[in-house]
Amino acid sequence: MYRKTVLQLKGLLENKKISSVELMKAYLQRIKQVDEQIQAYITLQEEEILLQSAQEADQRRSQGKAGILEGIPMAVSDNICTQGMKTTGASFMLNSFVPPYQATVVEKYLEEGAILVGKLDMDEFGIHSPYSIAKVRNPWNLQMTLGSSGGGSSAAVAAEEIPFALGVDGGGDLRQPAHFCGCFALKPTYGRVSRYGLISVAPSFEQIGSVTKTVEDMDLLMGLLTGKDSKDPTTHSQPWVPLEKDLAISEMKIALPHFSDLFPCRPSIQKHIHKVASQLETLGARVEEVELPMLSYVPSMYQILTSAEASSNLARIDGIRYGHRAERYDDLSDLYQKTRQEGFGLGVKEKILFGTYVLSASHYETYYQKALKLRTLLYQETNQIFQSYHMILTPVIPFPVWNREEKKSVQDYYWKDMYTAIANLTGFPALSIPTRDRIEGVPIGFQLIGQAGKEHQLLQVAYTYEQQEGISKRKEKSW
Amino acid sequence: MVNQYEVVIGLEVHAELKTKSKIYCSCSTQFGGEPNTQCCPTCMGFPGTFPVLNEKVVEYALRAGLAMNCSIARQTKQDRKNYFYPDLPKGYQISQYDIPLCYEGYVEIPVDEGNKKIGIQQIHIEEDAGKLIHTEEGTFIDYNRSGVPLIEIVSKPDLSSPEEAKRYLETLRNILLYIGVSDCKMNEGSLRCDINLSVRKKGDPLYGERTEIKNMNSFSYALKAMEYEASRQIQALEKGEKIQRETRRWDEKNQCTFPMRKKEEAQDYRYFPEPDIPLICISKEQIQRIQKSLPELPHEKRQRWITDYHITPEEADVLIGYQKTGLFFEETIRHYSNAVIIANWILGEGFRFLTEEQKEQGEFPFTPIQFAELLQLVEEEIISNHIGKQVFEIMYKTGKSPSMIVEENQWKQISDTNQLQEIIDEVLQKNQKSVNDYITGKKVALKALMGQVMKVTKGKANPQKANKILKERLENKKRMDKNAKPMI
Repeated sequence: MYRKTVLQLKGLLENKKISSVELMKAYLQRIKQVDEQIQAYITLQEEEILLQSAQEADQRRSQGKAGILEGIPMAVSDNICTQGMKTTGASFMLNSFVPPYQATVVEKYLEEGAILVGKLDMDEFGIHSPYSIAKVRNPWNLQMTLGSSGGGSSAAVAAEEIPFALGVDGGGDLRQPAHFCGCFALKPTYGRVSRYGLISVAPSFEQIGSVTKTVEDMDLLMGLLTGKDSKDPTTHSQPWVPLEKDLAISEMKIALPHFSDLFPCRPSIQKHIHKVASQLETLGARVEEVELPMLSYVPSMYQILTSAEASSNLARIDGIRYGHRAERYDDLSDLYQKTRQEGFGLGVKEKILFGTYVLSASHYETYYQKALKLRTLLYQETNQIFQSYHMILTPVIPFPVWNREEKKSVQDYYWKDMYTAIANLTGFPALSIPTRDRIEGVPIGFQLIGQAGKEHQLLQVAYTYEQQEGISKRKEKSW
Repeated sequence: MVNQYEVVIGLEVHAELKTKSKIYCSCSTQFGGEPNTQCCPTCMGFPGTFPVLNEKVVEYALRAGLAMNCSIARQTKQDRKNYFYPDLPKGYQISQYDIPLCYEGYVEIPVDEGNKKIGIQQIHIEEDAGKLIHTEEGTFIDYNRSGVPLIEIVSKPDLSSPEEAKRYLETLRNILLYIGVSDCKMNEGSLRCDINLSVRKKGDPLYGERTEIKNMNSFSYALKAMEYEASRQIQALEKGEKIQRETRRWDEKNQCTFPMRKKEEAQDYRYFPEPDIPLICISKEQIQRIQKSLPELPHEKRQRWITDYHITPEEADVLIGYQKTGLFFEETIRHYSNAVIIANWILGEGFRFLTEEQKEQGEFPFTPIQFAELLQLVEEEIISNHIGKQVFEIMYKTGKSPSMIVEENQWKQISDTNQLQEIIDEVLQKNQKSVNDYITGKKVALKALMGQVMKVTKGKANPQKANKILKERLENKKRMDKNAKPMI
């Protein structure tokens, strides 16, 4: 039962083939069975409460008051605030923080009857670094990396511990793990989804997105999330265009940025993307190579700008009003120093230091301001491509999967986000789509970046590809 | 020595805006609430919360900007000012850095030679911080003030004396009060200022090194601090010392400024654009609408009162300064035409009774119509000026109408000539000695007799008429007395 998609479960529940209680029991059983190894959950709701919720969902259904997601279990990454349920951002700093408010995205799903099973593991505050201590494993190969910070969401879905999950994508945090887990992950257009309740680190980059097993699930779930929220002033009310399954993709023109020597995209990955390009052409789309000169600057502008925002955004976590506070301190500045020294991990500290450096008066122009200008130029170049093409095809990560113990070079960390970060720097939507290919037994996918507000075009192409390649009907299972 | 120097002052004034809710959340801005009863996760900087800009704040700031002749940025943004302090819950203050909402304006302040234009460099919007409360048990934080909207008004260094700077502060305060955007209550901290001050030899084209005196929350302290700092700098220069660029604080107890931190210790606030708040766009229509909605500004009013009503500049300043009392003054003019008399009565009798708070609130316990009625009674000599003052006091204490008070106390002035003659004749008869004194040339006797008339009438005798009749009668007696003399 736990192998089903959201849409399939919805059908089974609606036709009374299964009850919400049965479904919840199946997932609880599954979590017990695999989570010891996967370690996707950082906090799990009590079994009693979950079964009670499932029972209530069944009751509502029998009274004809079922919501769209009535009785469907969900999980969200631990940097999304859940009222009354511990929300730590996977940080020691907030290890006992229980928010008195609900993230808008969680509220929207709860209103539709979904049941919150638990919180998913991630890198501290979603900051990926070589010093990561996140425990979550890749279900396809426990020795292999999940690629980025938001791993818990994809791992939980891939290991069938939950039918879908929400997470935060600030530069590829959702799309990269989805790519290594054979799932779909969408980073929506900036402003589509309310960030209220998101423990924000890089506010101009982050959007909450979903990890799903199929394109249809993605369409259903994201459609429920979008819209203006008075609690997040960056949201807008552009309506979600639903997926039309029988629409041909022969009209679609897809741009493929030229693989340049200026950046180290491995030949195996280039080959993989060329293969995807020809598969898409077989389906009727037109794929053409284009120049995107700003691409080689993406990693630097991404690092500079996200670090700058992080240094400021994490300042509020100071031990004064909530979270960890050092036990002994001499004075105010000692309190700040000891608290933050003890509470933050190395990756976070590095990010804060770098961000503080690039914003400091003597380096602002050299780094921060220049990066802002490059960001505008990248937007203009990308937008220029969208004058002639519907979307852009790229790899998700420019190199193949690696061992989780392997110390990647600084360069690798630098280039890793070059493709996914484009979407966060420009605000355009991007979808990570799985293929049938495997490296070291681990799936590999590709990314489509779309025009603002045109997620439906991405889903259209992804759906056609998914059907043709039989992605969601794949026999082989990670678990 | 002092005369060889000139003082250069620029002020940064922070005014709390009197919007009902805070700048980025819906908490109340009411002053004086129990600590931490007017705050929420947003204004306490909890993770996962975002600032939602209160449109009223922009509107109020625009009102201030237009009233101070500023240009308005048609597209602007907010910026983060980063620093750690427990009263600053997010670890940064949302302010404006390089594109202020309003810029390049001016206000006119009255000086001896007429008016002087003081340049306004910029007006920007920002949030206030919470408040630390130090007690013996430790330090506590009250977040009620956190997120209360502020405008910061930065002047150009156009002020050339502490006195001018004080005038400028009063002018700003009046404008903000009149356009209804701030209460400007210094005792509640809703108006505060930072002073930038330097001195230079007269004629020197370059500015001297300046110091900054932070966080003054009283006009009189600010004046004293500026006077002290100016003379301190002049003395230092005379001794051949150099002025250090530094931040100083006014010590009211010891009546001096003392250094807080040197320039090298100045904080780097790492300003950068606030990513959580979308660009602020101001339409032409909005500017026009606000411009049209501005009331008559205090300096315009002041000029009009001096020109049209002939009250003195000093009287005008006081009446403008107490805005609501000024309104009472204006309202009374609609019912009684002599503005000079109204001003005299308000500033004389009125201010004898009114508390500072009542002056500010214009809280007279009677209406302008009743007040005008009183003045009318005096003018028509139905009561004397003296009785009028007593009537005023009773009006103030009871709120009764003046005619009723006059009626009840039978205070109507005696102006009837026959009646007065009778009373006076009786007085003369009873005071033969004074009459004789007068006849023998002692003019002071007239005063004594007049006093008797007033005593007998309980002050109700029309003084001009009574005086005239008394004099006539006495002169008559004098003549008769002379005519009688040759009998000796």
